[in-house]
Amino acid sequence: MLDKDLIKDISLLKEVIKPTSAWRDSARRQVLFWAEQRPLGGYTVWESATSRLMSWRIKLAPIPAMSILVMVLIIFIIIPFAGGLASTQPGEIFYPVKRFQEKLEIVFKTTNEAKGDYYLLLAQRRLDEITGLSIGDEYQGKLLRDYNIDLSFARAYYQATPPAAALAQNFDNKITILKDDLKFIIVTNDDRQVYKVAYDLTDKLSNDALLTLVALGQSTTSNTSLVLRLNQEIFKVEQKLATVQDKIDDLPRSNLGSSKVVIESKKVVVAPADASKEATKTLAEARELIDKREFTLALQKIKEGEVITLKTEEVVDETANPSEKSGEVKGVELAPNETEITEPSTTSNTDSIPPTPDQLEIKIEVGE
Amino acid sequence: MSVRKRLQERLLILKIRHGDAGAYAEVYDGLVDPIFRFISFRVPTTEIAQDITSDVFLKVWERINGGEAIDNLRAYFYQVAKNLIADHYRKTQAVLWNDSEIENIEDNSQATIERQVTLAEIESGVKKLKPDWQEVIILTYIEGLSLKEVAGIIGKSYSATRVLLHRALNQLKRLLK
Repeated sequence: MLDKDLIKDISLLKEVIKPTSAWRDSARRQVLFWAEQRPLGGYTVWESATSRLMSWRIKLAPIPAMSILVMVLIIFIIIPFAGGLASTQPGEIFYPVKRFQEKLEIVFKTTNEAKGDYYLLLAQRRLDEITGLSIGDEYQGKLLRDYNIDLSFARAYYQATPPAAALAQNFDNKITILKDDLKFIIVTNDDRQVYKVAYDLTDKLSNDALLTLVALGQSTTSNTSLVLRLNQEIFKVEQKLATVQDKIDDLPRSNLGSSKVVIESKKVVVAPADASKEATKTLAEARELIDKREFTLALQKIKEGEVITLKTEEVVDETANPSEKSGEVKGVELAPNETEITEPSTTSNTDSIPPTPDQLEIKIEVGE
Repeated sequence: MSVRKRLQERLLILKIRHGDAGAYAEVYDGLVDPIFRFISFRVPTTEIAQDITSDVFLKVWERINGGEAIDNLRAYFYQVAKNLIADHYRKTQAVLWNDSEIENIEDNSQATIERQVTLAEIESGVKKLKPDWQEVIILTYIEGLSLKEVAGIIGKSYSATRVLLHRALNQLKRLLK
């Protein structure tokens, strides 16, 4: 008998000599019964860190250890301590390194919450970079698109995380800063569409966070922070309303008669001045509801007041500038895997320019 | 053993040390068949092999939980199995051998019957080898371990294991003639 044949036959014994399934299962139960008698012990800090490190190393096993060490050194020690990377702007030599480091850092975020938080941080970084550019810079549109992508991811991870007050509060705080920063970005005509998407997306995420805060706050006894937060929202709308009221006061009397505001929630059509009063009344109702701790209804009233305010402003702006047609550019929300939106219009300034909220200091440059 | 397997084993040992029954279940599922086979060749009946296999798993669990340091889990299991086989013979002070107990034979075709006879002879032949030779044949050709792994389990050098395997195979051929 050839060695090869013999070896092959020996290896076949593996299929022939084995325990029966019945015995295997019963022995397993017996062994596990024994094992479960011992309570689960706690890990020391060292053991916990070691096991986590081993788990990661197993995941990265195909990559040689030295490469991982070098990568870790570069990402977490050399680059951060090299200084100045955080403030690197697009077009500078280390900017690609900064973006690469950001991509790698995501790998180490293990929970949806951590990922969502990190994408918010990236969105903030994009905004910071935009503010560091000059107006009309070639990178502005790209950075706004990246901002939209990061924010879409943040929203997706946020929605995938079970609602929690601390999480919603954290998101709300950060989104508020993003919203405020976004208002001061000046964009060119080419980037107007992507800017509108950015604004709408930020607004949506802000609403998500606020809704969660309200829903969770409704069921807790201590909700001082929620009261403050809702009053903050009312104050913002009131500020806006004050601006709109000034515009109404500046309108020539002859133009006032023809302009009407449709208030869908009240099913009425009124003059801008009356619409402004309705908005004021709605916000007062919101305040009363907050005092009664009816937070969900209060938020609805605040949103209603905001809508009336914005519609009134639209009508007033149209009345003030009747040569420009009114129109609305609908923002397109980016899905996490989308990297592009509808191409911005490149036609002349006589095309419809969407009305923008007054507090957004947008300067639209005339395109060719 | 690859880096990944080594790390997985270390992680399992850490979990088992902390009483993680799920981790031990994973070890059981991976090793019960090889350990049973290893013991089957060394003891006369299936029932004895089953008893000793169960004892191996219980003993290893106790020792890991007792804090015993283990470098190579698989090798440790085989070592404990060898010790328990030796204990068994010490207690019984007898060597009782049946002929082959080949299981799961259902196909009655001529070729299969011839194959089964051959396999029965091979099994019988392996059982007649010295324990060291048995081990190296079982671990290399039945369990499919590398020579380096086998050397680690039986506690010999790589070259000594290679020589042992060569001699074991020659002896088996002589027995089967």
